Amino acid sequence: MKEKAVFSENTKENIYHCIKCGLCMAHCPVYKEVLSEEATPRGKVQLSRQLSEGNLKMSKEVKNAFFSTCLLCGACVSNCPSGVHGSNLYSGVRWRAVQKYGMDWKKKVMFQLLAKKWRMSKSASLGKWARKMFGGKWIESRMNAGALNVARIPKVNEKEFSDMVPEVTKPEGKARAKVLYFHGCATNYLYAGIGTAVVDVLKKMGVEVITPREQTCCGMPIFMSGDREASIQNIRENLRLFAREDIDAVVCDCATCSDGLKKEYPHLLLDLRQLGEDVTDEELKAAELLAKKVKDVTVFIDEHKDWLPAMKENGKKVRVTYHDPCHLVQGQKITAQPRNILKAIPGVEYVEMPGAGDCCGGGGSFQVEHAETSRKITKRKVDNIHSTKAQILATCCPGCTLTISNHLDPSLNMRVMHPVQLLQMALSGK
Amino acid sequence: MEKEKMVKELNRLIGKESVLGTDMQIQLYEYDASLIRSKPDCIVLPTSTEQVSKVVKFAHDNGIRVIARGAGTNLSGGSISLQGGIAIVLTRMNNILELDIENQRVVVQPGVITLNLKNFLAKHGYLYQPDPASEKASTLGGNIGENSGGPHCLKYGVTSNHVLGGELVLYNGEVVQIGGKALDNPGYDLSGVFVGSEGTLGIMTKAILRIMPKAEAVKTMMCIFNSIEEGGDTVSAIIADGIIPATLEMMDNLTIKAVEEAYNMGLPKDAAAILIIELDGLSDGMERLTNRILDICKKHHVREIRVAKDQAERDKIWAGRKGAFGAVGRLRPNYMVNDGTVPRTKLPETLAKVIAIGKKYNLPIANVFHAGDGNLHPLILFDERDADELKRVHAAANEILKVCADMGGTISGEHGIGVEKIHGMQLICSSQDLASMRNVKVAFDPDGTYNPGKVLPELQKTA
Amino acid sequence: MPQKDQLVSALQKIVGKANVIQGPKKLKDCAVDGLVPKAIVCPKNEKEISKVMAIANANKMTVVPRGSGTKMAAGGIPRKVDLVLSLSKLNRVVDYDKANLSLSVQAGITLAALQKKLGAGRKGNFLPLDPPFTEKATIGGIVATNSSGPKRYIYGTARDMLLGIKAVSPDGDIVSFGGKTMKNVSGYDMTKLMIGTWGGLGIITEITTKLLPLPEASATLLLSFGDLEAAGKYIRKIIHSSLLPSAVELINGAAADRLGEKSKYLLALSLEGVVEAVARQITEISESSKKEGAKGVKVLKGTKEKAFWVRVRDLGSDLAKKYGSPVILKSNFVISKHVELMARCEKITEAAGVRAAFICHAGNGILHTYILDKPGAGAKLKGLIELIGKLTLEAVKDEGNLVVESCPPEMKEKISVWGQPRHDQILMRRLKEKMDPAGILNPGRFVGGI
Repeated sequence: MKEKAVFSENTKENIYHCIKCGLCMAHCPVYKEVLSEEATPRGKVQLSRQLSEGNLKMSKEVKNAFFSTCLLCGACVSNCPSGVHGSNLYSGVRWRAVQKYGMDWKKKVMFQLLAKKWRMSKSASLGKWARKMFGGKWIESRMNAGALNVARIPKVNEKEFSDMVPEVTKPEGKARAKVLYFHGCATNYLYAGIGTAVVDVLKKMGVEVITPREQTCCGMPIFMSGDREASIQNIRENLRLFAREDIDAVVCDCATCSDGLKKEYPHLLLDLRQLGEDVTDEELKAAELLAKKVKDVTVFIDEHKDWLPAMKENGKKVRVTYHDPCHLVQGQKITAQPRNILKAIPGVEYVEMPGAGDCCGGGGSFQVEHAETSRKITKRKVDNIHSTKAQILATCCPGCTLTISNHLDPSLNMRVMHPVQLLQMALSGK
Repeated sequence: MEKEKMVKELNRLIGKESVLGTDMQIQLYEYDASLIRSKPDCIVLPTSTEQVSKVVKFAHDNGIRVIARGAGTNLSGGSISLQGGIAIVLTRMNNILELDIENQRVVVQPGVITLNLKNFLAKHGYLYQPDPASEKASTLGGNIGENSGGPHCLKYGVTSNHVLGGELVLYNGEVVQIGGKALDNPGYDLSGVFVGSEGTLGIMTKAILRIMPKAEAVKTMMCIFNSIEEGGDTVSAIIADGIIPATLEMMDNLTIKAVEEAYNMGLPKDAAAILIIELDGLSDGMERLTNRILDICKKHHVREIRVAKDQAERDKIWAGRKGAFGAVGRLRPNYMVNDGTVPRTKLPETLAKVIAIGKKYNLPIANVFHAGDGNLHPLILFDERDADELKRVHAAANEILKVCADMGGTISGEHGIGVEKIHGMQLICSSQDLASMRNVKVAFDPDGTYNPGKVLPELQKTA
Repeated sequence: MPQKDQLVSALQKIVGKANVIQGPKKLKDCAVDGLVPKAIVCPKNEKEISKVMAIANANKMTVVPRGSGTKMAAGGIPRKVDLVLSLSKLNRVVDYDKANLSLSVQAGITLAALQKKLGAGRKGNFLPLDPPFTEKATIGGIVATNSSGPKRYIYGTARDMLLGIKAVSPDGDIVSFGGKTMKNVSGYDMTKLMIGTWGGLGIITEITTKLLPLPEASATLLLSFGDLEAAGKYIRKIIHSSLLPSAVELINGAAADRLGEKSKYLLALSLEGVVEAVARQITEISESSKKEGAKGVKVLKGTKEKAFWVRVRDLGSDLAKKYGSPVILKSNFVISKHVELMARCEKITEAAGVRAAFICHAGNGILHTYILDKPGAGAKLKGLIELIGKLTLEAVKDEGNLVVESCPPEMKEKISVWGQPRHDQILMRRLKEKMDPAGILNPGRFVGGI
């Protein structure tokens, strides 16, 4: 039986621009720990080429290489001088690998739940299920949480964030803009405080915030894990809800979500169409439109910082450092805006950490499945954070928040927060 | 020996976790940054000298060929296993063993990444001078194998000027210490002949390097020209005026365009040439020296001069220069890079000939080079899937080698002969010269265990 | 082996009658450690050398290459001396490419003559090597023995300057390595291999080297210190700073005396470069050295400066004029041990009742010990032999070794002139065996008796 084509034509052509210079190695967090060619982006690009040319057959070994030695952090993509888009290749191989060998059952259950809209699972309370899954005795005994310390995973929100927030939040004072708010799964289930802060701050800036109830997972974790069929459902659903001309922006509080919405949707749809999937022109157009509108919430706030009400000093100073999530710094080249916000807060003493742009090692399920590598990468990060003697680590990605907070030295009582949460505190005089 | 047996034996010798032998793994070590591909029979990733020695002894006793490999950024096919055998990948021997500031030495394992060492030294205010463009990925072992250069070699010399000794694993697994932290050890300059031997004489498992205190002041400037001839003439004029800056680098229009696309440095895409000139040393008199250089540039109709204001601006200029090869990968899928070197006074003439060769074969050529050293890097752009184009590329590359030789130059300044230029050795060496080199090879490696088929053409025939 | 007459006529055929010297006095002058050659040959070019070597190789005749003969008291006792091959007739500048800052020159030219040529004109250049025997040393000899001087601190040694070498191999092949380019990795770096081989792997006939533009300005600071500890502290400060002296020489009282300076310990710093940098370093070092315990500071410029450095370089050659084969030792060691090693060596020589001058390239970890007494014989000789043994151990303690650069032949029989044998001699032996299989080039004189 002939194996299915791994890549669409435009993705395939990109492979040939890898001149094997190897500079990607310098930016790959996994390679720094594993130190074999398998772990290099170059290695995976070359394997992609072999697969695509039929010189290498899909095997469990290949599957393992593409899952276990890549965080999909995107550092290789943003640092490739030749413009090779490795992530597209890796996710393509993961897709075919999963088609052939299937996906880990735990992941599958999880993704199925994420893929089906939250509204469907509301009464059954995914929240409770998830709490059991991550926090219960059963799970501690049965499930290997890899590099994560299960006891230190935060408690699941009492109520899903989507149930807490009104569909439309009217601005305080003069209405200056209207935005759609895409909050990720993490805010929905784990970090409702981030969601509340985003809505609160935007409201105070005079922005009307619409939070569509029916929104669902951005699809990226599913897509990255190789289940393109499942992720396409999410993509379609989100395009329907968010690709709107009549709003000023779609704001996101999660680096991975915004990166996905902005960069992966258009590419993925085009790719699937070239591989014979049924993708309409309208959908492609909608994806382009959404890509234009999506903004990380810190970018939106920084662009309109003059809308912020004055913040008063209350004499208290708190030392804060900032970690660049890969999907912001690599994927979207966003580094200044979150820092601008932090530095503008009167009570914040900002300190830059060494290696702020280095990956935290989490990579979603990577830390669970490839604990040893993940742990080493996280250790570098955490050491750098501690070297700043900061009391608060700010970051714009709930994934990084989960990973880093899990590994911080407990005796230091550090907190990990979204910059907007700190902004909210400052605006309310705390 | 059968591959399976080989893997089994190696597993027993150094442990399963350090031996790779599946088809997929082998495909991962069949290439480097050159155009050559060839598969090893298996791969080992040792973590100690003892393991390297065991593997080499095993290979030698069983007539298996051995090749040492670092990050695989070689540009001449030097790290390709031409005749199968065991690829010894040294990336996991990546410890900085000793920082000896008092004696201005550092002792490293071969797998240490060059830039990592430099960053480490910078914390202490010290420098390791060689700076190949691949330094953020390449290993010191590889730099030593190829005698790597880099922009700053104009003033500070190449890798071999900074390697004072180390530990070698010989062809039969025997371990020997050569040179040392002290200078002038009595005897032949074994480090001198070993550095740049492209892995054909032995494996250096420990290297003693010279470090020096950071310069007091650095000044980096970018001079933009409307004609490549004027850029080249400026280089000759600066040297002829008795100024040897720390670097004198040049990029042509095609390279400028690619670099700008990759790094967004604000380079003018219509410029014909850019010179990157850096001065370092004591701050006193640097201003006057800068003005002397700028005057020379002006005499050669420089269009614009940008002087870096701080370290961040300097870093940006160098990131663009060091990523230039990769950036050129945007233009066409492949390039063949040549690194012929000519006496620096012959640079403008050679460059004109290279451009003519590109025209003759209808191939785009991007030029980015160490102008101060006379070290060219014409990058011939093509697509390896086009057989006719590939043929023309090889013909053009050979012609460029010949031009460099005819100009009184040499066919490789810093990338090595490897496989890609082995047929060009006769352009610059007589058979007597080659016989002499061959004696060195046989003295170090009598049974031809190490990196067969590289550097010396005669050995290729007999191997 | 053919009869001597046959041999001589064969050589005469190659180089001409006048260029085969057989006068007993001249032969005796060219003796190495008392071994008198059968003939001295003075070829005029590489082709002649090639033919001479072919005959020598075929007849297993040993050949000692010779420049000005300044290093004949060095090295181990040769196993045999059949022919001395003089390079004095190869003294041409082959190619001086001023704009390229490169030079190709034949081996027999003296460095002094060369520097004169290079330095002429408005924008002069120079070859930054400053070995002993300022006036006599030939380029070929300097390179073959890897001879160096104080300014190696900033400029390095032959291995840092040379771009290429032309040589004649023991079997008569004319080989040429490297070239006029600043970089070269086309094949093995045979140029570096040939440097410092004492002609053992081939006869060096021509070298190509980088040149440097003559510095705009130069000056020398003589700092006198009352004790070694203060001098050492200050040296450390200088070599770990961003200051860029071109020589850092630590000189003991006995040596200073011979240089015409009065100081217990003299630190001589040569400063070269742009006018502003030289001026600033004079001021800065003058001030800071006083704070660090320097008792006196003297600035030398112009001819006085030049003369000072010539005296430093030629301290050994002056002794040679006096004693023929004086005892001169060269210890190498890790650079931080400059004063420690000198202090220990001073103590040991004093205890042995021997007068010695010490000059140390403090930034490079090289200490020259000049025994000021006439070597003599009997008990005195035995004492010196013991002393050398002790001093060797001291250098080895600091990761170095000790080479006897000059001594009378009767001493050589009882010492190892190349210091303690090292691990890497096995590779050297194999190289020698491969490249000179008949063992005709300077056999026995080099490390490990090769």
